Amino acid sequence: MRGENYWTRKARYSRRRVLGGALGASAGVVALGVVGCGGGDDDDSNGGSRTTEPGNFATPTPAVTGGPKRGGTLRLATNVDNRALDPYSTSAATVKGLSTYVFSRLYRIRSEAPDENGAISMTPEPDAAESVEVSSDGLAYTVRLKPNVKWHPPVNRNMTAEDVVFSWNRFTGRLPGTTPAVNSEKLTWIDSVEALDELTVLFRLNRRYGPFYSFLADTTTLSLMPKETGTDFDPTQIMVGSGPWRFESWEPGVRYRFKRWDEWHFGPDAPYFDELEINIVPEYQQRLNNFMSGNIDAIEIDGLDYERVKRQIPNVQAVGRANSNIYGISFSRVTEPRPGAPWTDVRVRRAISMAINREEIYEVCYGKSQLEAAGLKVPELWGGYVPQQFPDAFVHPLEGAAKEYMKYDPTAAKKLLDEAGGGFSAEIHYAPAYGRVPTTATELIIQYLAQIGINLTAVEEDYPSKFVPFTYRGDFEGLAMAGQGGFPDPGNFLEGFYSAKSERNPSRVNDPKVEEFIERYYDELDDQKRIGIIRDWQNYLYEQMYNVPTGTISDSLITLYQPNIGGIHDHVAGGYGFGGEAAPYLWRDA
Amino acid sequence: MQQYILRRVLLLLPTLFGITFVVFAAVRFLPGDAIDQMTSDFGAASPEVRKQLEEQYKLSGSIPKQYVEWLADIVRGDFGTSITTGRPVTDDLKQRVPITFELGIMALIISIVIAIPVGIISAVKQDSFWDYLARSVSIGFLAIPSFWAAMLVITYGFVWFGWTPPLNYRDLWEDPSSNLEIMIVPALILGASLSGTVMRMTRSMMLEVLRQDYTRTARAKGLAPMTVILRHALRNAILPVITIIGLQVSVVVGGTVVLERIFSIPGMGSLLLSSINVRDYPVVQGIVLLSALVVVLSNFAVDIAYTFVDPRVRYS
Repeated sequence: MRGENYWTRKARYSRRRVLGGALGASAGVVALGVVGCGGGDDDDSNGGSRTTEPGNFATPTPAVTGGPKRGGTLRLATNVDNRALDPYSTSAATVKGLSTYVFSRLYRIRSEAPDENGAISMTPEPDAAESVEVSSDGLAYTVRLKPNVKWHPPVNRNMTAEDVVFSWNRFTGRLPGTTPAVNSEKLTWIDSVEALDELTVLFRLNRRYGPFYSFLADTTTLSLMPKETGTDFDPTQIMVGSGPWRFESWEPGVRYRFKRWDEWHFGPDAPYFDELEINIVPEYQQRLNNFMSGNIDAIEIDGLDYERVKRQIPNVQAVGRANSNIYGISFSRVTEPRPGAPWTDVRVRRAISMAINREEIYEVCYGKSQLEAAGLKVPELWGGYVPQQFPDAFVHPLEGAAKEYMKYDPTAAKKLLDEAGGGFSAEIHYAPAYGRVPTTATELIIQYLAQIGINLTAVEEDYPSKFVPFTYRGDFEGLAMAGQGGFPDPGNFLEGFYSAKSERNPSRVNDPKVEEFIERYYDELDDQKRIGIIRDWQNYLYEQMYNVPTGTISDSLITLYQPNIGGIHDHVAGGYGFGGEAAPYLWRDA
Repeated sequence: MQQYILRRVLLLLPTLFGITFVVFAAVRFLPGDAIDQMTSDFGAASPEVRKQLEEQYKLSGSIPKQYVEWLADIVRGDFGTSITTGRPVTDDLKQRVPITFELGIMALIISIVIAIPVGIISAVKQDSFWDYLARSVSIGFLAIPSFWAAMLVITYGFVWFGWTPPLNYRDLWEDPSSNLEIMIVPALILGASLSGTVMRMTRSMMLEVLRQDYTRTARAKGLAPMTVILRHALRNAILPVITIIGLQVSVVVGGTVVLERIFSIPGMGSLLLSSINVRDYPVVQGIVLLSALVVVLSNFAVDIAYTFVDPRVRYS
């Protein structure tokens, strides 16, 4: 008997019918592929939070009133799980940044209210040191320690000169069973470090070194450790220093926790927070979401996201800072004229410089107009030979010796290039590991130079295995995008990139005049005269243009804080020093 | 049966030996090494410093010599010391393996819970609206990369619902509710991604079995439809599905790597990613070897499971 049964009861759709319906249906697919991009929209919904007059490169803090208040936990986030607690075990910048929370140095960079460009003076000031005497020949520095610098538990005693000597010996691998820290071999100008008495340390130099205090303040070199390190405790498991934050715990992959060090030598009021935690959140979008949810107190953001955050948190506080690094085009063996290397002609390098629209790079990479529309007055961002974070030393490209070659003028660029022989083809080497901004800048530069007849083929290189050991040392042919940053002294930038003896000289510059500048710079003990030398040095480099400065490496120029965090404007840190130079002076308004 | 198990265990040894060789060689093919990574922020290290660091981290000597030394340590249960932290690799593994294990098990369970019922319904209601819907959804799960889905969830979860995953991971035994809160979303994403394959295999096998004579006989006997489907049809269809589920273990191991990073879960996968970036060879080798062991053993377990599911399968 034919009839319906369980298996034939339900309606069936033929394949033909279904496919026909699907083709007729609208696409209805939302473009969900764009992820994590902020960017403005046309919705003028800022309402009362938009100001008619843009403020400084920072927002005022109307929500925070009164003076510092004690208590609470400062919650930060990082994208890197350092996994190394010992700052001497690796050269990684992230470990150096972590070390500044726990370890003091003899000097530190004075945290200050920045100027309208977000720059601080980068002045070294005493940290564990009380005073320094310099010998008349500049070859001996006698450092007197403060008597009240105390080590965290389990050491729990005052710092002595022996601890400083121990730290130096550990840093340079002079202790049995230790190897030198990877950057210690650069310090060949220090002959010895010895303890004269309980609180006095003598540094003997084999040559004069003018920026000696900057060296003492450098977060990448001499972090001070007690002599019990490695015997009474394992430095790979805990951090014991004398800084404002006492190491509490490290949950691998989760967070670092610190407690306020009550006996900090810059206390007793600071640090104002009782606890500090650094949460490990590798994904930027997650960090941003957590900031907008109020789970973390500060975040460095992509400028393109500022407007979105401001919509969510109208009173969000922003602190911009001047760039602390440099980036630009290097040329292979630039001082060796040879066939097939047209860039050895300075006219070609000047033409390249004029062909680059630096303002457009700035706009595309940082969303300058969006930031300004959201109420921030964004400074001019110029890449020179020295970062803008050294306001006294920095020679503005439009004021320097080659100002006409730093203006965007593709017509003049083409003309100059034709005079020098015309366009050419070459490779341009770059490392995406530098980040979004440098990679975008490289892409734009390729287009700018194509407009004047220089055809570049991009060669992407892995940063640690290819770019650093080869390209960064000048072992490439063509052009390369290279940068550097994080040094406490402007002279380090110029020496690194332009000295024939440097491992970081991508253009393999070999110019006796540069060596002469280096000699004069480090020989000069007077700070103001040294500034004069470095300005002359930059003007010389602008004339020679061995590298063409194009901008910065930083992906972010802005740190956002929750509306109830105080102290953010008066204590901006330099370089990697946030942990010891700024964080202790922040507080939460109840 | 015991002989079969013993033979399979003995066969595992050359397999594992081969895996150690592949694991050791694979990380050495990565451009750059740990010394390059350690020194990269200050330019390349001088030859003297490089030599010292190589000796300190057992990276000196020929590659075969390094391999033999590492293998000898592995046999003794010593996975070596992390180049980055100086801690024993076993400490890292003990901390991280349970977390990834939890995520993997949750994802597998979710995939089975979704895939098998949907596969059955899809087969029973072949060519119906539900069948087309299920097949389309399963294709979607197969096609959409889990990491992309995770990014969408992170982004639009906040934009539309103001939701964000908990900031810090909590251990299951310490705070079960927080733990589940952070694990459920990545487990759902990974489980959904896995369910596509299982569902399609279930459907395919059920369709075949539903047309067999014994199924018709069962229907003719007047058994209830659910009894026919579950006790007669499914039991015969499930064998290849178990194989597929066993193979999914390797997909789970790989899938957790990026998901753990996106959701800030401190498991083996995120450790592997960060260790590869810094060329921490002992950690990478340890994790990859352990993962390979898990995949090999899980497939072995699947083979044994056959004998329980299908009495006709007997190993001699």
